[in-house]
Amino acid sequence: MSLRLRLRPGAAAPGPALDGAAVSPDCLGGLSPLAAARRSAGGAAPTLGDIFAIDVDGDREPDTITIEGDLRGVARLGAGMSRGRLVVRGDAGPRAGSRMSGGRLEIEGDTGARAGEGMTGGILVVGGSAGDRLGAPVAGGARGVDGGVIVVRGGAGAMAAFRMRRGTVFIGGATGPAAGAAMIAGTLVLARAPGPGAGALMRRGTVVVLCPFTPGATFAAAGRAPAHHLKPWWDALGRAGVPLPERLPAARFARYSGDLAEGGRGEMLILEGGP
Amino acid sequence: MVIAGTFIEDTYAEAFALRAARLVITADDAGLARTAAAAMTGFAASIIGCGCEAGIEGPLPRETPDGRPGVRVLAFGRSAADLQDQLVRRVGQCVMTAATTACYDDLPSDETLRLGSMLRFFGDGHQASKRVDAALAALADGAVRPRRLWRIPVMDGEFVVDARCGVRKGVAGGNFLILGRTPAATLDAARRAVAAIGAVPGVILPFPGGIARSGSKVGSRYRRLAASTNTPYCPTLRAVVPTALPDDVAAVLEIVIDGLTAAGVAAAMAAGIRAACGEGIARIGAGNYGGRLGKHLFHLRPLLGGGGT
Repeated sequence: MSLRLRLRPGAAAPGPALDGAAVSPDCLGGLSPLAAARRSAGGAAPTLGDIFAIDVDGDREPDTITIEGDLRGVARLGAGMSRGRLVVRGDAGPRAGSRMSGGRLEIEGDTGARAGEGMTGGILVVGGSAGDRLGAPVAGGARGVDGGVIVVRGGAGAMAAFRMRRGTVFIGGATGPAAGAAMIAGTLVLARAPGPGAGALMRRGTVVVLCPFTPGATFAAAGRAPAHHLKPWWDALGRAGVPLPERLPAARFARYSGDLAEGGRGEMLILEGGP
Repeated sequence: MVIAGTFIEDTYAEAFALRAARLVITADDAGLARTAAAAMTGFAASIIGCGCEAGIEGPLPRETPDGRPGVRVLAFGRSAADLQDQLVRRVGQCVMTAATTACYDDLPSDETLRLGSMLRFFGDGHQASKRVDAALAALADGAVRPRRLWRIPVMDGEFVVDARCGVRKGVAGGNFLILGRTPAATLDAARRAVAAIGAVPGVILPFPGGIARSGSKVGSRYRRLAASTNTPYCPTLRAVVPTALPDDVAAVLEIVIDGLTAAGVAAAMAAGIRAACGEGIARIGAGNYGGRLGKHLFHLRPLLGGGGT
C-alpha cells in the first residue's frame, strides 16, 4: 500500500526541527493510513497523525510514501531507510536520508544541511539544491558517503562529499568550498567549477569536473586521456535525467594527481573544452 | 537423410561439460581489440594440450561496457581454478600488453573467479579500483550492472579490467566431420561451415580457423599418449587399418564447437552442417566415444530436422 502524508498547517512551526525519521518505507510500508497515523513520530513527539494527514495514494507503486507540505522544519526524512521509495513534494529539512542504506529518496525541492550523511547505499535525488556537508560523515563519524548514489540537480553548500569513501555523488550546480575534501575513495562529479579547496587532502577517489577548472597547488598535472571506464556513470546519470555533454564517453580529460600532501593517489579529471 | 546431395550419417557427436567464462575485450579500434583477442585465444585449441579451449565469438557485441569497439571471447577449462589460472596468464600477457585495450566480464554468474584482482599487482601499488555499486546500477534501470573494475597504470594510460568474471557450466566438444570427395572441396565446405557458425552467438570454434584436420581417437600404441591420430579417418591409412572412409572420400575435416549451452552448440552444428553440404561432399559424420565419456549427445539427423534411425 502506498501512503500520502500531508503536513498539517502549523505542525512544523519555526524552532527546533521535528524529527521525521519515522517517515520512511521501512517504518510505514504496508501500514494502513490509520495504523500509520498511530505511529509515534519519535521520542516525546506526538503521533504521525498529529503532524500529517495520511491517506492512501492509489497512483503509486507499493512501498512508496509521498509527503507534501513545507517540510523545511522536518529533519531526517527518510533517515535509515533501506528499501522502497520516499517522495518529498517540496523542500526538506536537514539530514534527509541520514544513514540510508537502500531504497530511493526523492526530494523535489531543496534540502537542508547534511543530506545523505553517513549514507551506505540507496539513491538520494535532490531536485533543487543541498545545504552544507552533503554526504558528509554523521557527527563523530569517520566516513562520509560509503556507498549509494546522491544526485543533486542544483548546487550544494560547503564540504560536499567530505570524507566520502565509496559510491557516487553528482552535483549539477555551484558547489561551496572544500567539495570532496579528505575523500577516501569514490566518485564525485561536479558539473560546475567547485569552490576553493576542492579535493583538499583527498587520499584516493575521483573528482570529475565537467567544466574548465584549475585545481589547487597540491594537485599535479598527470597527462590527458579519455576516461572510458566511467561510461557506466554517464549511462546511469543520463538515465536519471541528468543533462550531460553528449561527447562525454569519448571525451578527453586533463588528469591531476592529488592531494600530494596525502600521497597523490587521488585524481581530479577535468573535462577538456568544457561542457 | 540427404541434404543437398550429401548423406548425413545416423550418428551423434559426444560433448562434455567444462567451465566457461566470457570476456569482452575493447580497444580504441576494432582491429586492436581483435588482435588482442586473437593473441589471448592462441594456443587454446584443445584442453588436452593447451590448458584451456578458447576462441573469438562470431557476433560482435552491440554494446560494450566502455562504449568502444570490442570482441567477445569464450574460454573453457576443466575447473574454475584451472580457468582462472589460464585467464590470468592470457589476459595478463596478451590483453594487458596490447595497446589501448580493456577487458570486461560478460557472463554474470553467481560463481566467479578472480581476474583483475590478481592482475592488479602489476600496478606495483599504484593500481586503483572503481566500483559500480548496486545503487548506481539501479539508477541506470539495469542498463549497467554492478562490478568492480581495476585500473592498472600502463605506458599508454591505464589497463581497465574487471576484478572478477563469471563462470558457468559450458559444453565442449560438439563436432561434425566433413567427408569430401577431394581435399579442395572438403576445405571449401569447412570454410562455409565456419562462416555459417560465425553468426551463432555463444559458441566458438577453438581450432585454427575453426577447422581441425588432426582429429584424434582415444588411446595410442605408445603408453604415454592418451590420444592419437584418428586412424579410421586418415585416407592414407585406408589400406592398412580398419577404415571408416567410403571409397569416394579423399579427405576429412572436423569442425569442433564449444558453447555456453547445449542449445547453442546444437544450433551451431545445424548451421555448420547445412552450410557444408553440397557438391563434392559425400557425407557428414560426427565423432563420439560410444556415449561413454560425454554428458551431451548431439544426434545429427534430429538436430537437422530429420528423424534418427
